[in-house]
Amino acid sequence: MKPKRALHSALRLAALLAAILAVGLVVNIGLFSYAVVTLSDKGSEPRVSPYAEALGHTNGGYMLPEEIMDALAANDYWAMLISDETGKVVWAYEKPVEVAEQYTLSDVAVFSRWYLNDYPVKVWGVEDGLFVLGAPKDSAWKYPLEMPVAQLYFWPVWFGVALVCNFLVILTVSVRMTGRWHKNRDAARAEWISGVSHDIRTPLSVVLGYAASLENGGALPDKQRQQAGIIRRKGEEMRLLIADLNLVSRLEYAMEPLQTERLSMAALVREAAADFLNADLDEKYPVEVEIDPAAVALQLRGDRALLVRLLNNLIGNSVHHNPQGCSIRIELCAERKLLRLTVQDDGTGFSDEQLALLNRNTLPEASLGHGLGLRIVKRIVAVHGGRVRFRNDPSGGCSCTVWLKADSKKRKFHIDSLVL
Amino acid sequence: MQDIHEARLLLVDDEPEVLAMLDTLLRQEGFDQIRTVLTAADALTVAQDFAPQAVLLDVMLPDGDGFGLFSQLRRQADVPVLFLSARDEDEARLRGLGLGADDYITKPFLPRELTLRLQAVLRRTYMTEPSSPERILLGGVTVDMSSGAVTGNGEEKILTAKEYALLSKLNENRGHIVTMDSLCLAAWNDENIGYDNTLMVHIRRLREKIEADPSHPRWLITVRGLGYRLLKEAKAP
Repeated sequence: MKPKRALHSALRLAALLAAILAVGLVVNIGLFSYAVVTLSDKGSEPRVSPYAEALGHTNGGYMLPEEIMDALAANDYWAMLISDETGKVVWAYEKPVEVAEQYTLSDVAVFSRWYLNDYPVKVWGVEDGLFVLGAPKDSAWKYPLEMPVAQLYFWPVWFGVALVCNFLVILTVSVRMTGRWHKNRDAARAEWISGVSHDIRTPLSVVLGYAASLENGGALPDKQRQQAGIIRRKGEEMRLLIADLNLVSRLEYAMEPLQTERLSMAALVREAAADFLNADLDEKYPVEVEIDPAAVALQLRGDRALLVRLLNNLIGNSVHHNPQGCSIRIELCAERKLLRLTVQDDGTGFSDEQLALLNRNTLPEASLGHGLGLRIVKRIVAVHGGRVRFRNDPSGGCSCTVWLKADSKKRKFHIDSLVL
Repeated sequence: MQDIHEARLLLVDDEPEVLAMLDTLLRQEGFDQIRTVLTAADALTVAQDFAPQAVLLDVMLPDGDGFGLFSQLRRQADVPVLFLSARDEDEARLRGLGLGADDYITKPFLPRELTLRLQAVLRRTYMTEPSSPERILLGGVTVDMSSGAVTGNGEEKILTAKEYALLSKLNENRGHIVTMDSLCLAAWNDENIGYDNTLMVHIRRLREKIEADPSHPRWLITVRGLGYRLLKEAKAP
């Protein structure tokens, strides 16, 4: 069951990565092909050779076939033929008047690369001279490309860099999109849980109310009153479970911002221990508290209600596992900039399977078999950016150690002269 | 009102079954002037001639929310209101609105908790505060909390302000552990930091006044690592 689940999530991750890679490749190849096609000569009309080669001799002159002339006219092109021998224009079609009739070699050299009277022109050598095809002004931009061959060899590197950049962009976009998708799904899940628990709350109020009323009222024989008491207690268990379920879902799906404040963990530990001892009437669970003076000086930023919950759940865990009673020891130490909290008991300890589950980074969806108490502990530690470790002690019993980041600012000490 | 159970109670909830259950529960507890309504509109009408002395109010009502009704009720009369809600989020909303509601209970509530809280609200509103115990009896020693005088063993000593604050905090929770942090808060209006030694000194001086043998205290005992406890019955020597 569990390895299968791990395999399943690994496969899903792999599929996601493959999809991103595939999309990245397709988009990149598409972009490059488009660039190649549009920048190539094929795309830059007019192509001069079909016109030049269509130019035919007629008695003493030249002429273009009808359809070629139509094609030229349709595009607003003009054309001329410059004689090799004289440099004179010996044939022309729709040549603008400002275009000269006579050319020197240097004239030709200049306009063949750039423009002729601002007309973008292309040239083609034919039998009797140079065929010039002119396009309308401002219809083309010419830029002769020339670079050292060494630099040309470097181009694949540039293409590679561009490819990687594109890939990164696509990756970021898709990760952000899936992130948002996950967030929406989490919000929906948390809302669903809160909705369901809301629907349970009202009927459960009625159950608890009448059970208590039957238990305390004098109308029923003792046996039935005891049974009403059982209904009430079970109802109360359900009530706690619903509250826990809501808390877990709010924590796991980060539905509420933490209400953080600077607080003293030492004070919280003492309060939790004192509250527990004050309520533990038959003294089955003696609690010993050891607080390192260095830890008293450290404060931390945290959510008071959640940290109190963390302590209560850790103490509650020892109680829950050891109905026959056990000694509980709570220790708070300073480890450089960390506060280390250990809650330890001398009871029965965790089963191996449970321990393995507890120390895993991700908790399975299934409950740990002992309510949600330790799952809530892990969540509370996580939202405070801390670490948690569960272990069984060789001498019997178990311990849970939590490391929380202390606030860097030291608490100011009051002067003990207040005694006077 | 001689007894808080004589109070006229108005229960407002959109669930008839919840109302019936609350009615049963509260009658069993000794309240007998109870009116129940299902809507905010009815609540306002009934409130006018019934003049409730406390209102139990569900946040979600078919014709508007409990918060709106609360403001309207408060405009009619300064009646204590206890909110009932089936959503945790309402508590934050209640605080956010800054309404001076007297208490707030989340469904599903423990019946016992509900009646205790209602009684507390009623007592707070209609009964004169039971004065804090005038005397604390610690075996042969009596502390008169109105004067701060400690009498016993033929002597009379006077508590200092800090000793008085510490003793009254311990006495409020007599039999229970009071953490050093709460004691410091009570005496210095500050948390424990740096007061450990100071607190110890004041406790020692307090013991000198109330204990027969301050080195072997039988009433004010230390709970190592946590704080102190004022026992209800003297520890065996």
